Amino acid sequence: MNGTVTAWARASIAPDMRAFIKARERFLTRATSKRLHRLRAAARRLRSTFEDLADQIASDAERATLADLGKILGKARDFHVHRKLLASALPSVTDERRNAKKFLKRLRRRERRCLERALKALRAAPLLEIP
Amino acid sequence: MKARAIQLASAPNATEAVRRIAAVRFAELLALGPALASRDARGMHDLRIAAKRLRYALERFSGARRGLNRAAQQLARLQDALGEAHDLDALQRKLDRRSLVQTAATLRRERKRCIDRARRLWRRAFLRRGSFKPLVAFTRFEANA
Repeated sequence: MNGTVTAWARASIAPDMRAFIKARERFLTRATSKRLHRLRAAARRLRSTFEDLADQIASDAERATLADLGKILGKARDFHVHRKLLASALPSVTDERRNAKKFLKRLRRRERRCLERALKALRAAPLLEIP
Repeated sequence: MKARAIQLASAPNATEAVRRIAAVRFAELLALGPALASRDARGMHDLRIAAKRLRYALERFSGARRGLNRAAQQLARLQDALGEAHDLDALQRKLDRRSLVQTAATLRRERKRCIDRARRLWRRAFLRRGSFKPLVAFTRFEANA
């Protein structure tokens, strides 16, 4: 293994790891949709870095943790985005507006539930370190 | 879509390692390009993931290379258009299941606009002065073509 490339690979992970830890702390302090979005993006970036450098840094466990976390955060994000999209489509809907509004409320409830689940999962997930 | 493994052990230095990463991620993206022409939902979803991986790699490793920053920005726009199309598709399926036909039709039109936008971005990126030009040179795809 090339020592220079390995050292570069390790140094390359550090900024993404710092960003992820920061986003995680912020979300744990207050679980808003905006913070969820930032945490999800930070987790995705970190996972992507691990994938690019897998040849130099073994990171199977870290990638699995990030993938699990990504699924849970993704669900909450999807409900949020679907709710926003549906709300923006409502003005052009006439006949079904009542049912669409009902569905909108349902999406909001599910989004809240998913946010709570994401918080729980994040607290239970192992803390990540550079392997 | 699983990311391909990249051989970095034999890279003599960090610059070559970055080139190899960009080349593999770019090849993944190019292989999925035809999904835009066929408008296949699954294929476009995979294309979006490939765009995201390449974009992250360029933003992380390309440093001050201005040309590659342009490519990363174009990938971000492509990712946005495909992401919105994917979200609209997923929501539209939920609406179909609830027989919210009119609402689903509104979203379907919006989704078509997003895909058209993605197709325009893709075409522009490959023009003579397009934003992928420096990426093609960096990954040495031009020499291999």
